[in-house]
Amino acid sequence: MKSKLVPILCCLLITSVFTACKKTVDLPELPNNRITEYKVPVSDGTISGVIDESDKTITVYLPFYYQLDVIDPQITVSSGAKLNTEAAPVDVMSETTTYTVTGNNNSTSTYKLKIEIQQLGPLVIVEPSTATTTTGWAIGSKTISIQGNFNTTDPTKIKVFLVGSDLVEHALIVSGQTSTVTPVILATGKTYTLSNIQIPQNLADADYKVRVKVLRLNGETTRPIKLVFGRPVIDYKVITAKQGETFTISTSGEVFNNFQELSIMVGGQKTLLPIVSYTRTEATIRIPESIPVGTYTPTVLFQGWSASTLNWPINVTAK
Amino acid sequence: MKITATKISGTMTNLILSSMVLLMLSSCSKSSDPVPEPPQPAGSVPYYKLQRVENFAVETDDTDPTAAKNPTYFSLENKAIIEANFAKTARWDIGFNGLYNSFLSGNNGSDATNLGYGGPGTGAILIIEKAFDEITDIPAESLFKTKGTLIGTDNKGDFGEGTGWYLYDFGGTTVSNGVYDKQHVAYALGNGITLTNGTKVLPRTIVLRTAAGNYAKIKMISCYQNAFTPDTWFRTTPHMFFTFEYVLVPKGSTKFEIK
Repeated sequence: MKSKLVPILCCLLITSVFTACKKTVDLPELPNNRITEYKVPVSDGTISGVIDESDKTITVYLPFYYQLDVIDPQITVSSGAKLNTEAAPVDVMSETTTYTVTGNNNSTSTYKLKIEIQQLGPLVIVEPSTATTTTGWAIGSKTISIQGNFNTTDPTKIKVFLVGSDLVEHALIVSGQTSTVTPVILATGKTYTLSNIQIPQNLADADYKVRVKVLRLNGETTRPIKLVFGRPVIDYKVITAKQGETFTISTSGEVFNNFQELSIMVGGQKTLLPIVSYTRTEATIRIPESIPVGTYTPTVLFQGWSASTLNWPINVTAK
Repeated sequence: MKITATKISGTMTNLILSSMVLLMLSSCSKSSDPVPEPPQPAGSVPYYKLQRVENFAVETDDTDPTAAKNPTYFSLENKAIIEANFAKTARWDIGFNGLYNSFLSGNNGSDATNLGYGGPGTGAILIIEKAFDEITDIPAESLFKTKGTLIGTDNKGDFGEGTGWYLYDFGGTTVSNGVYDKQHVAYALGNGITLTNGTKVLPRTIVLRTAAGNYAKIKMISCYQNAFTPDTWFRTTPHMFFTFEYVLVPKGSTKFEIK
């Protein structure tokens, strides 16, 4: 038996020598215009996009807690193939991103990118109004707050809208510099307060629902709030104007409404400076020629509000 | 004999089997020795070459000086400004934010205070009281800091926050004689400076780990437009225009070299 084994092994040896590197089965040629890998680097590693060749899609499942604005993918394509455009960062809300790959035989294939943001839902907003009281928000106010389970501390990720009876969305102004988000742990769970957002100065005084969008989640109050005219504010400005000339004052916050008078004290007497014209955001005031040269502290009066003395001067110079 | 024959045939079998295994293992293998390749830069800026950036401008508003401006991002690897929307990517290496955008930080995705939090950046930063040319060793990893808005005003001047890359002279008396034009001047300390009282402030050099993990040393030269020496810096000189020099070396290096 042993002696018979030697020739058998010899045959096997010879066969292996001649066949070891030889392909005996011709596989069908694979397309070489494919995306073979789609990776998104994040703070703790990499998220791999799911490539579906059947419908030519790449799906990226992106957890919300990375709070990314964009993804900056690393894309690998078939050997010899190339992407038609450089892979640039993609907005996480993008729904129109595609990639076209050209193979070394000039064939092409196009993939559509789908970014699935994995968020905790539903989005619930704490109602500013109650069943018995409708909360009033001042038109132009910069100190509006809204509370909900936003699950982000980035104010720019939270979009707040007022929706009136015409169903049009009016975006409140969120500032990356002054708006803040403060998380608070309550008995009912974790909640977030977005503070220092502004009501646009051009909105009408009416009832609105509050709608909030955080990435792909939407939420809306069931009760409305009411926009009202608040106590107008006047932006700080040192005024220097000649006798008989006009100057302007403006507001970047609560708007002007029923502007009744602007006065200064001249020789112990209240003296009105005529309001030439005004809009919600700007007023033109005239200095009568009779006002003596000097520095004065103005007082303003808007209907419905007590008079207030301003903390900036009017310097009247000779005409 | 039987025993001998068995031994012979057994030896032959072993020989043939060994040959087969050797052949099968070696028939498809390549025998070329790997040749080490020089490290490739992560971006367009080559390693070991001195780079200079002049008048890199950021938003400035002297009428509201204490209001923080939008952060600005710069890629040392590509010597380019990076748009703010790409903050949470590895495309930038050094961030400028805080007061007058004068506070520097690396790009780190793991530190909640960092501008790149959530992104893939692995950067960090530190500052050393030594001249740029004297920094030859890359500091230990434990010395690098990942916080945002980190390195700015120096304690030797006004409103100092630790060791900084510049000295702020509020009244103009720390570095000059208090004349109006020398008030509110920010003195970059890349070359050090001598104070009015004779104190010598040593040069400062920034060492930074880039978002991709490479290293840079940076000499901050000026924050004034087209003015690169202290005698040309006045309160009215246009600012903030950062001028700095740097060199990149690859990840894993222990030395800074300029070749």
